[in-house]
Amino acid sequence: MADTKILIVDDEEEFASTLAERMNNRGLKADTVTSGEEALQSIADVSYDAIVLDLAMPGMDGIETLKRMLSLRPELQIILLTGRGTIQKGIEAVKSGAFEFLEKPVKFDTLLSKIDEAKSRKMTLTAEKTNDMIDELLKRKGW
Amino acid sequence: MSSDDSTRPADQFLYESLAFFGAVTASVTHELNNVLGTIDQIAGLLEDLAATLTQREAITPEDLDSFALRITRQTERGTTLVKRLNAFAHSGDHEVTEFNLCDTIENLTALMRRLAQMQRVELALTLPPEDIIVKTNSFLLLQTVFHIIKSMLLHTEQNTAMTILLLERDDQAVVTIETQCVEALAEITDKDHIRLLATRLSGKIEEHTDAKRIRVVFSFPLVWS
Repeated sequence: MADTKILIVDDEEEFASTLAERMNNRGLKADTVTSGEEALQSIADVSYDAIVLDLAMPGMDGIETLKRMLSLRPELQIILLTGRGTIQKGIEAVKSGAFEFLEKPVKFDTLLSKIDEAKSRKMTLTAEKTNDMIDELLKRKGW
Repeated sequence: MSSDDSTRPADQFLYESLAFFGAVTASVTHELNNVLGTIDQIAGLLEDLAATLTQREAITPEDLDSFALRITRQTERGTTLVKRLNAFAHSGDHEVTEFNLCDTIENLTALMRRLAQMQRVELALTLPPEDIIVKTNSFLLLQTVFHIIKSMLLHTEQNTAMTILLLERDDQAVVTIETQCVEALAEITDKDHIRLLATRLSGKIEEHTDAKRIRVVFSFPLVWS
């Protein structure tokens, strides 16, 4: 898990910063932002292994943020955090391309385990994409 | 009129009342969930630090102070929310009761704060220097003001404040709510329902639109007859 890059997106600032502090203590590298707009800026600058995204946020909500992030970076692995009354939205999020949704308050170890799975999936997808690019290149160049 | 038709208004009123309670409690309990989630993470952080004490520098008194402060802050936030929710839950205890309108509307706007924030709107309440004591149906009153604010939120421009002003005038209590709309000449939605609720309190609703501003004035007798 060391050096795993995480972005936490939650308008509940203290929740996000405490979660990040716990992750950093375990060797992960966690950044926090408090809105969907900031999250879109962050993913343009850094390649994250997983995104932890709150569903209920002011302005651009979690689903909208999820869709916009995936349109910019389809390889992103996004774990959505939902309240009890919004599980239906969580299902909608998975259909829209989220890696997983977890109900708040989330168990830290469960979240870490999902982040680990998300990172593995991202690495597999990236490797497949690289292989495809090499195959394409070999075909074009005729080597 | 069939027997179904004769029961429909009462059923509809009951449904709308429950929906109103549901809308307020759903928003507040979501925020309470955030409070508990944050305390849970702070407790987890302390646990993590305790587990690694032998491998790192000792926790300083300043660290412990900071953790205590963070937990206290969240606990106070949660306690305030529960108190407000409890006062709200008791609004249906009596058909007519005497109460301070300023406290009741302050409580409602605090409970609606998150609903407004989700639309990126702040609720700015202005109270008069003197209390406004009314004797009326507090549940109907809360429902009326809630629906006015909620319907106006749908039109309000993001990153603006909706103002709520209370005053007493000629044996009437007056609640004036004003907001900056996204579109010009907007009209509040759910108007019939709001007017019906106001009528039940022997009150009336006036709506004023000026370019992109909309102002709704809800007035009702200080003593419900």
